[in-house]
Amino acid sequence: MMKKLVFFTLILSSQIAFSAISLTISENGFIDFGSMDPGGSEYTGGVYDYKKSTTVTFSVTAGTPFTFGVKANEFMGPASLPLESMSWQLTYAGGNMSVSPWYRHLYQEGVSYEPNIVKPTGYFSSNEQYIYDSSVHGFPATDSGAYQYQFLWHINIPNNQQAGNYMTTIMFTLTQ
Amino acid sequence: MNSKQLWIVTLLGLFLVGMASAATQQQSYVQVMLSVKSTFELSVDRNIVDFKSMNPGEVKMDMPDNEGIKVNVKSNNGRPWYLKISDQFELSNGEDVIPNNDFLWSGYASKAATGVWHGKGDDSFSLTPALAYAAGVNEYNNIPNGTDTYFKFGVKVPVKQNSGIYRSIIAFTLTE
Repeated sequence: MMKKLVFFTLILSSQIAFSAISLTISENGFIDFGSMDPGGSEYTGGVYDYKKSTTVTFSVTAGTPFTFGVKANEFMGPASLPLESMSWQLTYAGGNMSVSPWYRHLYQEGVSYEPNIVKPTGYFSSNEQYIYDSSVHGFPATDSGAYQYQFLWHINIPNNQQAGNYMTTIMFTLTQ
Repeated sequence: MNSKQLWIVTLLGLFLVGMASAATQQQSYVQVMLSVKSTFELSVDRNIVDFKSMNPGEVKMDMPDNEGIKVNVKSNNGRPWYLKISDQFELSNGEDVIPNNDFLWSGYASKAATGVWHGKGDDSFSLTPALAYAAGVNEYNNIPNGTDTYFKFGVKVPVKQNSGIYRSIIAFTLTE
């Protein structure tokens, strides 16, 4: 009976280890586009500036498929503001892995990419869009080191947008 | 292993299989804020109405032309707005005055306008702003094109009016 108990304890431990993934935003987790004119167009901070990038770091368990996606809530404000007005641009992808997923994808597999699977840039919607899908583009077999992605944000205000304050929440989701 | 132990082992096995197939998720959030600037503008397409030379007792209407002066209002505040008209002083030449009872305004809203025109035809000017047009609901935010209204003016020169050059200033007032 003791042997069985040890056996099941080991299995349970492996399952707990299996679920050890992490996702954190380490830089620029608050975006303020400031005051904008209707019809205006702005990058985060008003300019295309890498220093304004939001840094997202995540780690996964080696050998297991995972997805990394993004979506946003509808804007809250005095009137409707389409989510598609806001877009992301992936400015960097790398980290502790020997080859970063985006780098490998872009340079080792050629410049053509599946825009619905890996999206270096895209317009937001309330549905999750995968920025990286390991089942399509592979995953580290032995290296579970951290992935680091950096994003720059852009918004186009419709030229008939009602005045007022608007806010939303961008959600990154790591699933394994 | 008795039957009770067998059940426990089976249930534990099923639990672990369930865990193995369940996806683990991590989420992180980025807050986004922006402020859309207010537009609340009033513009006229002409700044002078010249009745030219008139005789005592003469009446001139529909000046400066049949279309009238175009007054455009733009707002994106999402609130009701009102266009009012007044003159800052009566038609005057020094001490000589043509009273506001003889200085008239009329007009109409463009076909696209959905608000209410409050002019009754040929209204006498007043020194306090009189309501000319109240916006329709879908004009509370009417940018980028705005709402067009047209104003025409008339003068009845009293039969005993002293000669001279008479001037006044017409004021359009936009309020919420």
